Amino acid sequence: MNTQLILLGKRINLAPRTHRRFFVVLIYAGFAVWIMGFLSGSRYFGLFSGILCVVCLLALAAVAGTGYEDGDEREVHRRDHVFFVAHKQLSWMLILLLFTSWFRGPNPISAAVSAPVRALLEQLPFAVLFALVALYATLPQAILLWTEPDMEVAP
Amino acid sequence: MSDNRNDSSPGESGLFNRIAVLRAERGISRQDLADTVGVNYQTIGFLERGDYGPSLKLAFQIAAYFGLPVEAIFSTQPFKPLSEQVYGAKRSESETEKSR
Repeated sequence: MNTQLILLGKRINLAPRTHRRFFVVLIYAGFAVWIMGFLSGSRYFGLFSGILCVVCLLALAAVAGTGYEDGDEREVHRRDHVFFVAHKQLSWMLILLLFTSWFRGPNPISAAVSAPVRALLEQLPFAVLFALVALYATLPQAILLWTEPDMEVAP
Repeated sequence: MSDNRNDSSPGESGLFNRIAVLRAERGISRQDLADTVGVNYQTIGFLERGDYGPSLKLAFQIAAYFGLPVEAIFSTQPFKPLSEQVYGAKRSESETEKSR
C-alpha cells in the first residue's frame, strides 16, 4: 500500500487512517455517481460518470494496488484476510441481486405501484449488478485502506 | 501516531517485544532491519507497535539479526525495563555479597 498519492503534481499524505477513510468515501461517491449516471439514461451524464468510475478505479489501484501483488508476510496475511471479508459480504449482494431481479418479471408489487416506481423497480437489479461489479473490483482494497492503522510516511 | 515502544503494551498482536529498544540502542533504522529480514519497513513499525505478531520464521530472523535469543526480544509477558533488569541484577548481586 502506498502512503502517498500524487495527484496533479500534489502529494496527498495517506499514511493517517483518517485520510485513507476520506479517500475511500470519495471513491465510493464516484461509484455512486457512476450508477446514477447509468440509471439516468442521459448519454452525457452516463459518459461522464463512466470516466469518473475509471478514474476512481485507477486512483484506488494507485494507492492500494490491485490486491494481487507480492508482499511480505504481514501484507499477504492482511490481503488474504480482506479478500475473505470482502467476498463474504459480496455473497449477501448476490442474494440481494436475486431478490431484486424478481421485480423484472410479473409480480404483485409492480402491478400495485405507480408507473415511475415500477420503472425504478425494473432498473433496481441493474443498479445492484453495477454496485456488485464495483464492489467486487474494489471492496478488498477499500477494506484494507479503511482498517489499516496509521502508517509511517515512506522514507 | 501511536507509541512505538511495545515492551510495556502488547497492542493488537498480544505479544510484547523489544525491537524498538534494541534498534535505538544499536542505531539501526527500520529500513535497515526490514531489508535484512526481508520485509517492508512498515511491517517493522507494525511489529514495534504490537499491531502485528510475527511468524516464527520472522521472529527467529530478527533474533538472529540482533544476536539474541528469541525470548529476549519477544514475550507474552510484559518486559521489565532494561535499566531495572541490569541494575536490579547488580544490586541483588551486591546485596548477596554483603550478606556473605
